[in-house]
Amino acid sequence: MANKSGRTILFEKKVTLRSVLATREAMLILLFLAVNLMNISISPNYLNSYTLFTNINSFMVKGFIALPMAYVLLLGEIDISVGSMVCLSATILGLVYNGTGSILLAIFTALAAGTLCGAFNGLILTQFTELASMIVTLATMTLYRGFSEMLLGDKSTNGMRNVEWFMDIYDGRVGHVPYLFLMFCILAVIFGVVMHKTVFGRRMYAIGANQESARYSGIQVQKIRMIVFTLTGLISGLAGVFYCAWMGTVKNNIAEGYEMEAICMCVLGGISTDGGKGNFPGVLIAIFTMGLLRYGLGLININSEIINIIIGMLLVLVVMLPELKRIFK
Amino acid sequence: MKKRIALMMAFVMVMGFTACSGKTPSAEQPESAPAEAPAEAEAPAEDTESSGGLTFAIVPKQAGNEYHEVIANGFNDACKELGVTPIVQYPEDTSAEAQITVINNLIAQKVDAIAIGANDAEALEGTIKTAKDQGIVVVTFDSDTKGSQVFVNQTANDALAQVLVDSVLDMTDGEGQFAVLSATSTATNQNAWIAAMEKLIASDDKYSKLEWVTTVYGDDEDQKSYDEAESLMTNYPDLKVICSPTCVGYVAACKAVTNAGSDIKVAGVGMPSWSLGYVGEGTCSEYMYLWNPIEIGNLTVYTMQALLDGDITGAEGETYTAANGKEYTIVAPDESVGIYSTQVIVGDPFRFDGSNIEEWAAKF
Repeated sequence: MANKSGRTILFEKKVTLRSVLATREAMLILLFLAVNLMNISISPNYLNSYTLFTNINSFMVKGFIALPMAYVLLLGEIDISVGSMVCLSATILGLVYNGTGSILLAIFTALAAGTLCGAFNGLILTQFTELASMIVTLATMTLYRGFSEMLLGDKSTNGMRNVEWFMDIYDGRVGHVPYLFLMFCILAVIFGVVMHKTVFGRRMYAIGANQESARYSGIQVQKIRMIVFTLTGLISGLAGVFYCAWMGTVKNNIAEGYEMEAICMCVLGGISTDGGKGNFPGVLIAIFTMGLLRYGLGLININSEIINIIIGMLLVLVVMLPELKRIFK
Repeated sequence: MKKRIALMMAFVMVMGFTACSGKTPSAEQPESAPAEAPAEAEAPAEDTESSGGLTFAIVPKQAGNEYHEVIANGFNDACKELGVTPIVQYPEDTSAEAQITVINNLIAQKVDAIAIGANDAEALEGTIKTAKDQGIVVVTFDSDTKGSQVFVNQTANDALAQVLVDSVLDMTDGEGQFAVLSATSTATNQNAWIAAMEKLIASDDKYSKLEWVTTVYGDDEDQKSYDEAESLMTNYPDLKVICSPTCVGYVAACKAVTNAGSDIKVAGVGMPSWSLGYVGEGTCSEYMYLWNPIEIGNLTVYTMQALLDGDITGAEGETYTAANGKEYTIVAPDESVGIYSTQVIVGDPFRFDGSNIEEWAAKF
């Protein structure tokens, strides 16, 4: 438990090969390598960097949401309204663009809408602290998608891909590497550093481990919860912008199930849903493991239902592992 | 240690899955491989392919849609006939996103041609462009999207709109309220037919007493379509006819009307095998229309082959003789009804009623 609060504990833990291999991260790296090895062996087309990045791009939008989701889970909370926030901000982007003709204004409004949605989640949760985040975000999930349904009705809003530089946000590449992937890397580094190297990060760990004791030790728990939920809204808004750059058209049913994908990625990456446990690199490896596993299985034409079963089994296994370890010890 | 053993077991399981599922696409070894397409001559051998032959892929609208399964069957049959390896890949759901994932996978496999039943008129454009840039032939069937080379249209829009509006006219006895129950609001073909129906009704005085109260969307899901049909009955007590130009919506409306004991009639296009019991004298729907979905699958393959062989380029006015011996002509797109690509038309809508429904229900 040396790392639970992020503080350095003053006794030396014996570092053996076995203890290194037994860490979550080591396991994830092994899993990641195994998935890649499997993909390489089943399809000679896997290592084509251009198509590989095309496919990485297609799970990147979900990957962005997993970043703040890791924070939310670390606090011991959950946010299942992210998919709806993506949908609402994408809807607003489309409508503002078609209404004003300015894509910059549209992007700004979409980001603002996402942030507001997140802040609203945070506001309810910090003002009524007895409410569970699961229930509150379940309600706002329906609410935000409801707004989108109201704004769009049965129609779709489109035309965003007519703006070339906006299209390039998703399509553009440096060599074979998409801008989107680079943006993800930058953001991932920032999120990782904040989580592991700053006071803010340590406070999140403390709150996740025990909210009460964190409060008694002078941490402004509600302020941090508010910041994290608002941040989740902002990144969801950003994901909405990327979605528009990708598809160029928005319907009221887009991004359904994104919340579960993002939570899956975090849990697979070792963030405990109880809060206070987990490392950021794990989440990053998990995002790519899941995405590339899907891609590899798709390459040999396995049906999407079967792919879901395989990923589901993997997830069950991974969340069971700590328990199994305890039983067999 | 135990953990590592468990992990190993997980891999074995995953590997096992991939191993047994991986065999299915390459089950058929084509005997008479046709001439290699010029653009693909230097392409490396594909893992899904058993010989140097061609691979054609089809991406229907969604899994579990039997109508699309019948089209896929027609696709498979025609592929076998031509000695081409078929791949059928259903997207996870009806979103454009799910289709893009599947198409990207097919591009990575370097298939020779992809046929798409598009779920969105716009969203697939970028992905299709990527495919075409790599020399892959892309056609659409069922509903069109921007960027496709040729759209295999099940039937001429005007011809279908004509029979649908005439069914409504007949079933309402010339006047009264009717509503349309469609699939998704972005389904290109549905919107094309609805637009053609609107145009037709406005163009002729004999339709002036028909009142089109609303258009609702059941997303081609059984439950949602059924719910939409029920709320139509509740919201419009004077409703006389529900017209559903989609097979899922049609049978859902028939069920809803029959279960409610209502005397509302149902017009539209339906699959004979699903609609058995609802079509004929004394039921909610005396007759319905459809084309032959098997032929759509067949013609899709023949058109891909013609494009690959260079018999056609997809330009308006070109003609080609398909492997079934029939001659087809490529006609102009019609953007006003959501057909952005040049099109080839499978045939006229066919009428099913009490006299022939059972015979056809055995086929599809």
